[in-house]
Amino acid sequence: MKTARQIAKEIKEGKTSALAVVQESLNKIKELNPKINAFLEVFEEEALKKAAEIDAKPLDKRGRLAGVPIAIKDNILYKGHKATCASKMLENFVAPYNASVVERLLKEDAIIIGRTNMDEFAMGSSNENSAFGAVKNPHDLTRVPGGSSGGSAAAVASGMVSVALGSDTGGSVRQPASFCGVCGVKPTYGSVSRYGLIAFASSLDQIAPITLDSQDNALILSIISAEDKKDSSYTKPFVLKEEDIKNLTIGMPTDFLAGLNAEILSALNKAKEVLIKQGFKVKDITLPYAKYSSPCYYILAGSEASSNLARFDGLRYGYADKTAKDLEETYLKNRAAFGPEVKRRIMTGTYCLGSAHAQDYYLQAQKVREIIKQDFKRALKEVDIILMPTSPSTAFKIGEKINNILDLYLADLYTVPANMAGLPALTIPFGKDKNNLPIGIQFYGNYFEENKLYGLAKILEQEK
Amino acid sequence: MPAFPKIDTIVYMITLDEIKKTAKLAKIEITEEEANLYTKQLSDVLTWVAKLQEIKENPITKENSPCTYQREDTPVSFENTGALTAAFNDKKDNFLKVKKVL
Repeated sequence: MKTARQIAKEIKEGKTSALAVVQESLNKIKELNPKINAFLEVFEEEALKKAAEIDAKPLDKRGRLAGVPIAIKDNILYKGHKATCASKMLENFVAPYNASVVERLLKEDAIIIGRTNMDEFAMGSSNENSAFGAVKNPHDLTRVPGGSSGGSAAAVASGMVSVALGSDTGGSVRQPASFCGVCGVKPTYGSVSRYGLIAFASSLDQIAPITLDSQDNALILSIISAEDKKDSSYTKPFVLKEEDIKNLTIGMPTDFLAGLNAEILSALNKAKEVLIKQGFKVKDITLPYAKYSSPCYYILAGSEASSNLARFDGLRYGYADKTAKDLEETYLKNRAAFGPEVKRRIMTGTYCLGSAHAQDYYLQAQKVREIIKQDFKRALKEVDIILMPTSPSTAFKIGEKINNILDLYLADLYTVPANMAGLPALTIPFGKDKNNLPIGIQFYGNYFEENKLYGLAKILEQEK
Repeated sequence: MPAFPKIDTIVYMITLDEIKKTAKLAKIEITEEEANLYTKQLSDVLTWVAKLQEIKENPITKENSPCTYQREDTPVSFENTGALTAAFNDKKDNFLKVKKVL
């Protein structure tokens, strides 16, 4: 599979046509998607038409992503196309406008080739919560691809596309990227516009790319991170540049890693050795509050979801039950269309925000979130980068954890802290376990210092 | 499994009635079977997240409390209103039609 950089370069130099690239991607999707279920819909006709338009452009007028097929997670709006969040609730919802990230990609002549499967409303870490069937991991079809952007990660890992967009609220880009052996980032909170992303937990949500390698990832992030006044949480763009990283100090949070699976720990230690060999200083650090991130997350994300998802009442759009007698019953029956995990999260949030419990749950979680943030700020004064695994396990079997919610929730253990603190974090594949499943390792950096993460990733990628 | 606060005793239990009340507040119709399942599952989740109450510090100060950014409240017209009204599940002329409120 060619990277987005290679594809765009060849098309810009006239060595290949966008039509040929799109056709190859469509063929791959037709061959593999029936087994993997990564795509919910493929925009075949339109993609071919766009490819022909790009081929008709003079070489010097072709954009930086000329002819690159890109898949988008089904919670990102592409005007005139369905955006269902893999939910019965939005099964027939058609996007009335483009998400800002989609505008950026189209402006650079990328081709949006289809929308990818996900956990319903981005809630889950196994992609088993989709209303339209589970996604399978391309490395082993009996295993999950991770979630919630499981369709996006599986589409890249299986070579159907070289780039897919996902969204990361608690690890939903990085954990599936890790399970599928590809590269995924959670950029600094506020560096990518969420205009046109169907909101889940607004203090945490970020749109982000899943790619074959870190350089493609940096390129895509630099394109989608452009300034946007339509998102009031937007802060500043990520500007891609080569940074001098040779004097970086890398920290390993020994307390947070206690009890880690031996094979993943061994991959992490191998990465550490490579970095030491390359002249980096690596030291042990502590993050005593990081372990509270997951419970903190489930209170805050649930609370924000209960508010954000209140808009889905089935009146202006979405699932409509025709049997209700009055307005109240209409709401109750329409909203019964949510799947089990979405109902659980909305109800958890409703409970945690209730006047009787807000002090103990929601407000306490806000305090703990601030403590977690301060914990990371302190650690990032001591070191420049924090190295940790992306997930406590490699891809597990489909159905293995479906009845054990807390076990599933812990799949986010190492990814959630970045969302809690708003920090950037990047996962790359590094080694495999005894079942030949990819292991992902993760770099956390300081706010707006994604270039350092990409620099280190490049070094480790060369080492493989 | 990695280091994590151990759930030693059940410290919190949500009742079936509380689940039904919560579902009503969330405006979601649930079946009796779902109500029973969620009673067990939400109890597990709430017991787990209650571990946060071990932390007694309050780090919130005037400096780090969330601030409100205010922007000029200027109306912006959305050009594709036809797509919005086309999505209405029930309408009369160009208005959204709903069931009787009371």
